[in-house]
Amino acid sequence: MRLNWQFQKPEQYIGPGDFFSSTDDIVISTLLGSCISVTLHDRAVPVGGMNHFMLPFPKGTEDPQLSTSARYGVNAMELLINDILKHGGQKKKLRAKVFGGSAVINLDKAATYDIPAMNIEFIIGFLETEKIPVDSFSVGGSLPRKVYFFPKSARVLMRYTHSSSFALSRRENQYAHRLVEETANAGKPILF
Amino acid sequence: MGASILIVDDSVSIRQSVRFILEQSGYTVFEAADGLEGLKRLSETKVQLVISDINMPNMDGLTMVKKIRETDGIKFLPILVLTTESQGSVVEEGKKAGATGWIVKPFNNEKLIETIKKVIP
Repeated sequence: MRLNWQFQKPEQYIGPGDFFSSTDDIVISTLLGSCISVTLHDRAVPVGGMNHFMLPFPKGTEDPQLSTSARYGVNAMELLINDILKHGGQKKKLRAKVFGGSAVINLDKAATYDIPAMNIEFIIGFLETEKIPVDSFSVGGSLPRKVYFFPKSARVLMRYTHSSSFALSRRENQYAHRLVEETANAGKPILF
Repeated sequence: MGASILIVDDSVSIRQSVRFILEQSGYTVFEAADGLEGLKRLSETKVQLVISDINMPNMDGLTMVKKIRETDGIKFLPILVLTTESQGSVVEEGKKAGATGWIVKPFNNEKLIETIKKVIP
């Protein structure tokens, strides 16, 4: 972890597909385009965590909440939730903040789907189903977001950024393609 | 009428999506939100297979597996663990507890059904 001079705290950066949670006085940061980041916090511990994910493209006309791609979103959320539980948090005490889903990505394949809208729709539906209250959100639009999350206090600082759209779009593209491959090879079962 | 399967998972979203896939393949599905509820369900309902998560409140999945292995009448019930945990040591722990198989999320529809068919042909 490097030191963030502005906040005078260690900073953990997370990229697409990552998640991180901590009980320490640090800052977790990320840069978002079409992807979604959810921060979850249990103030009783206190512990907080953030992820950074996107749904893979759906196959055909699957139900958005039950599709294979939604399962990836559920998985991204479950990985973060389980990590917070390992730090002593309780699922029923978690509160969320939601960011991202802007129309930054420029994919050849994206023409058929509204990726950012799909991501936003998924996460709102998921948090509602799991009964996790949402304290604040900033989603949609067309600008990338830089998000700083303080896991001890649940405080979030967010700003829009113009500078990195192109590189960000390219990185999210690569992530999207990686997800398509992962979807095809997922979940190899073991029988004892 | 297909076999009956109990899904034990604290996430409503996971239960919904597994139920959807199983019902599409003709199975009858029962649900429980944690290990304790799972055991209670098993004492009331006869199922041919249990699919369970590990990290759950009240009673975790591996404790439930151990309890099932100690209970007459359901001792030999096949149990597939469906989890985000992929670490070798945790998988080993599952094997020791008495799980029949291990599937790491996010799972693939076809592979899940294939595995179920291997366990309860």
